[in-house]
Amino acid sequence: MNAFSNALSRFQSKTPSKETLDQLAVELDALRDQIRADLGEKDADYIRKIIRQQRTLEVVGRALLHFSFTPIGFTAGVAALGTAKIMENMEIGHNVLHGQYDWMNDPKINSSTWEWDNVCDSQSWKRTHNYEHHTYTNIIGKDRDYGYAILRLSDDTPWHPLYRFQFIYYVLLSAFFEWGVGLHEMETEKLRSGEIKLRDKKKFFKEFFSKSAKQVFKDYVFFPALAGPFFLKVLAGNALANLTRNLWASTIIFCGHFTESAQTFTEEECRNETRGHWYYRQLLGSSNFEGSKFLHMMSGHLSYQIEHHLFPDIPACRYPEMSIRVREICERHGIQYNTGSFFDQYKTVVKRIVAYSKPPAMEAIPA
Amino acid sequence: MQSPSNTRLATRKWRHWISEALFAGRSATDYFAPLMQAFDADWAPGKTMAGIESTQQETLDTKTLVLRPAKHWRGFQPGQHVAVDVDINGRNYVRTFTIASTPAHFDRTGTIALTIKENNAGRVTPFLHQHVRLGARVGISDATGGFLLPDTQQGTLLYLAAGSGITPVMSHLRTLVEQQFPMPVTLLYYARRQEELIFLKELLAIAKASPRFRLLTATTQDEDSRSTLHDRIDASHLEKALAKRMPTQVYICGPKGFNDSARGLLQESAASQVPVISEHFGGIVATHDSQAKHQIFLQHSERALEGSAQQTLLDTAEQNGLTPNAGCRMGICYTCKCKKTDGRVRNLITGEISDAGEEMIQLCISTPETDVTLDL
Repeated sequence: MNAFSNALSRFQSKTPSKETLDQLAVELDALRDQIRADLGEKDADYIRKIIRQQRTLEVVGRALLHFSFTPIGFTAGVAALGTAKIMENMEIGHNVLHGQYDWMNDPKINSSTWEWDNVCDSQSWKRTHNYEHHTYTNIIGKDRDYGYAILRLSDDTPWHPLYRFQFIYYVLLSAFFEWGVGLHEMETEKLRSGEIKLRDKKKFFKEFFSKSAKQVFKDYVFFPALAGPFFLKVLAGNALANLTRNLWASTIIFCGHFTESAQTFTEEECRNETRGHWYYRQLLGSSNFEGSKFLHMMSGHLSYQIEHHLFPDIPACRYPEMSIRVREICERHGIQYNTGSFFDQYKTVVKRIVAYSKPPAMEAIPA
Repeated sequence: MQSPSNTRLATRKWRHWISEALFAGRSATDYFAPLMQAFDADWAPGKTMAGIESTQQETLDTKTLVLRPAKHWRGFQPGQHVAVDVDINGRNYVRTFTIASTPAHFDRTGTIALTIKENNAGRVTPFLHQHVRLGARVGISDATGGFLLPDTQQGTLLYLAAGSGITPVMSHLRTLVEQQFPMPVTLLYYARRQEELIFLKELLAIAKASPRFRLLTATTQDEDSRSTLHDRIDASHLEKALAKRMPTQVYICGPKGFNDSARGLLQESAASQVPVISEHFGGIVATHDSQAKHQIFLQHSERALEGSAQQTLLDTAEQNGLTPNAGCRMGICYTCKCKKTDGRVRNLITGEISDAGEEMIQLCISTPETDVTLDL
């Protein structure tokens, strides 16, 4: 226990009654069905527009990096390419891979065929994210996203001196986030404990090397080579663009489940879970943050993490309107709705990382 | 030393790999397509577009759409069909329609005619009938189909058609008219009521102009109609059609029930040895009988499983020893997504019955409403 987890107990709510949970399921199902029935040309036009904008930005970014010889042009190139990569991963890739646009019956914009601009292979992502993370959200021991196997983020993980330096691990993980995500399926914690062996992961490694080789070739071989003697400039620019995307993505993602108000659950609590309890766990395990429309788009609407976890396959551009109804439903049933400003939410994430890096008996020094 | 074809294969593999690396699994054309479309709305690489030039009402529920395919469309043979895909409110739907016009007409005008019957319970044909705008673009596939005219012009033809099954027959007949009707043809054409006989005026005109063409119409629900025959097809109707003109080739086109009856009657008739080409039309109607058993055809495994509306497709597959990809088993993670090429399914989460055409479905939350074909 530490001051952080003491503060957390403020947020631990008692599980609502069965009647409340059943009613919650009915109301959220109805909201989902209503929005689903409303999906149409507006949503198809939206995703096509975002794809067009993203690809234009990517071409412009790469062109700037190639042709610019001034710091301003170079920075503009990094910003453009970085933004393009962020848009591709967050508003487009993550959402398309969730099946949010499968209803369009478009051969390109669908979760079966989309490959995203990330060293993580799309199939691997769908397995670890769509299936594992979204099914077992915040269940300690089953949701491997909780801590990504290298960070201690709750009392459930026993302390070890190596966790003292976890802020450094966090910074490194963020800087190289796409590699962390790409290798997530390796299950390093199980390899360390001996539960599985490296050769059990042969198929995964084949997939991983195939995808990452292509990504490395694109950003660190092909485009630099095009610049001839100026290859270092393009290589640096591409590396910085990837770094930008990594830092941004990890920040957004950490805000989703590691704020101080986000709750965890045990396996026992979730055995034979009712639909109502599933909704409840998704609600309490996620947090939103508020901001401008641009911020929402750049976060791939993961600023509406709650709505995303309640309705992962509804197009994310619908989450803002759904959040009004979800908030109202929560208020009526006395269920907590975690939200705050972007900076406030992120501050609590940093607090959590720092707090759990220390051994349990110590009191955290008040800020 | 590598032979030229090996080097070409190797370069192609490398080019393919580079293209996948640069454009995240796509070709360069696919990557740039959305950008090109900002300048040219018709830019659709890999797809042939066709513009809707005009429409004409044929009967109360049948309309002809005249399409102008893009220049590179490869043409067709009389009696063939095309898959048309159309965007309706953000969703893309694919339906197959027969071309009712002739290749010579296409050569002259660059257009083809699709005569389409409206299915009130459907999504696409009502849209094409009521909402499609002139100038709108649809996707059109290469023409396919085996409902073809015979190679030789010696012989006698018999057509048995019902309802909108007249469309491929019209393509044949119009072609024969262009060729000065080289051989004797009999058409026995069924509809429920006289006014539902599509192209009747044109058929009567052809009969008047070409003595080799004999037209027999029949109405199944209109006792007092001017048609020669009444009620559903039976042995006496067939006898009349065969009278003095034993065919060398029979063509059947109509709803499945009609086709089955016609085939059966032919087997029992004097024409039992004559080769038959048939095509059947009409959508499958989803039964709401939850006890009904349905066949689940698996294209890759080449198996047929027995399923019912009581069991999800995933459960049916697993019970039969298959192991399709599966995940959360509650419709959230899309791991079990699979292509359905034919048939209707019910989505257990939304309660909706799906489209009858090609669609991706989630096996864990889908139950069959009709026979279903899966890409498994």
